[in-house]
Amino acid sequence: MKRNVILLIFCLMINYCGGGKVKNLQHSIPEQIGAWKVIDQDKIYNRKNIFDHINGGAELYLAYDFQHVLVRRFTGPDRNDIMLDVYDMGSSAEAFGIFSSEREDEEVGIGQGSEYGGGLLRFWQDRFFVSILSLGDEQTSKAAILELGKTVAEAISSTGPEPVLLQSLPEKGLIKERIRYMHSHIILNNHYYVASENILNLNRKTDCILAEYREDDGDSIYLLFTRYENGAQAKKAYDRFLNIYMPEAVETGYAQMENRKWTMAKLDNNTLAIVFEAPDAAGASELLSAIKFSFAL
Amino acid sequence: MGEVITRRDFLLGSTFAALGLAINLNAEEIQTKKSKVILIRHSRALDESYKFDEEVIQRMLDEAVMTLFNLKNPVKAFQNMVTPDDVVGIKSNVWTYLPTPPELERAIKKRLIEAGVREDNIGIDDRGVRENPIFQKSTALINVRPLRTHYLAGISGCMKNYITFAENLPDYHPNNCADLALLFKLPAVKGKTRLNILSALTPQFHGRGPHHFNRRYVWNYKGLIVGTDPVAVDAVGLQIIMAKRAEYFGKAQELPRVPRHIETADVKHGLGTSDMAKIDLIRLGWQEGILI
Repeated sequence: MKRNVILLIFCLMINYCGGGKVKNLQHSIPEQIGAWKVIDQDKIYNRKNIFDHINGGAELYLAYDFQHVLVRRFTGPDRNDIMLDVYDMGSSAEAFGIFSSEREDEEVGIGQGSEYGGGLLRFWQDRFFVSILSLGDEQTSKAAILELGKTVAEAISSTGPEPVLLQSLPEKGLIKERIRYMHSHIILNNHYYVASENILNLNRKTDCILAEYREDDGDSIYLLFTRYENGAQAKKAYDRFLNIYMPEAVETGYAQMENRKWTMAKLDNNTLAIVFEAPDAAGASELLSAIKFSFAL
Repeated sequence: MGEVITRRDFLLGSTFAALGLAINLNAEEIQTKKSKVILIRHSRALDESYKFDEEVIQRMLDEAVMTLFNLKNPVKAFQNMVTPDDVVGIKSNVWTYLPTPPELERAIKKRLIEAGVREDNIGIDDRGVRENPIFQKSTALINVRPLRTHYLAGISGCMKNYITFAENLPDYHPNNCADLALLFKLPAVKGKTRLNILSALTPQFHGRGPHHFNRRYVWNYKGLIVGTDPVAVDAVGLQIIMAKRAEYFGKAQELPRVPRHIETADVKHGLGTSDMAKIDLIRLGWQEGILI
């Protein structure tokens, strides 16, 4: 019994140091999909050496709780290669987050959330985020990419919950495909530019949602909802935002912007909610009032 | 923390004013400090299957450098940049999805040899520049790479291309790679750059996924942007990317990210000119779909 426990601990340590959860998945993913066969040895990268794999975008993954990525390359007819990346994001909330951060295309029903466009399949399931990219003619490889995606989703098999913070969002007018979950002002700025500096004090310990709401006239209102570690941090961010972004609203928390739209901020315990691009102050207030703050506590 | 630029600054004025690119120079200063940038395009530089025409690309490069230096012979234009004693590193880019076209690398090398540089004193490299003997003893650099968007920096241009000279790449990542101009102060680089060529033959105006690549956002612009000022060359590249994004996504998404390094290179580091009003942009060749 004691030997078995030691063996188990040893195995867990090997997994943790040498590729963790993605290494466990490695042998469940087939080495051939249709006419596409594995070339090169699989590679596994961690938080320290991910820069060797991703040239330019590694910070996006490091802004979340990225642990390891398994990389497998397939080659098909006419050297039409496919690149499979399976990212262990540490939790299903983080996997959802990285998926949501770049979502633009149509859902294709793979995993817990997916999209396909232009030769790129992206999906999340449980704590994993998966990217499958065509490096050649995407029309030729599309079927193989989707088939590989389904196979990887089956190999993962388990599911995990979305970030609990999403339950706070008002549902009326919400465009679910445009929800972004993040911890970084850089990612926020990629979707809705707020400021050149991190004026909301976002970091890996703050959970932040940018949600888009469609009005009857087709215009969009944005709700930025952030949960801080504690009330003091939320208050500090609230004050900083007002002082820098709309100093005329330090007393009231709302102001009309130069494009005639309204911005309104509301502090509630350890959360800060800000509405951007509202058509009027009443519309901003209505959206803020509909937030279910209790889910964020 | 420096001065914070907020969304409201963009609402108040033009994008570039918000980025601080409009410096308060008087008319005389603007006249005397213009950076010259050549944008040359050719409709037959490549075909629909991304096959490059080497002869056309050679002619484009030749015409660009002749115009840049006001000379009538491309070899003389290269002799204006290098001497036979120079050891020349051609700093290329091997990014898997969109590398510097070998046809363009060969066009540069050919003219360097004709300008008198010994072939064994010319090296072409990207990720191995720190270990490459030619680059280690180089006396001149030609900086050449494709134009594309970049997740963190906004765009990858000539300034970003020197990142592989850095000992630790992440050192240059803070604040959206704002201080990329510092790469030009590294001992292996300082004072050596003779020419910057931003290949806009097949630029990428938007990126997706971990590798920031998606073929549908690459288009056949068929251009080269050439100059001695890397900041001005990148500023022109940014304008083209912004115009393409505005055309494809709409005006609201013209900014790829927050391209801070171009303005910072000018205002903070004095490396070159980022303000389009102070760039003498000369457009040559094919004009259809030029966007700028």
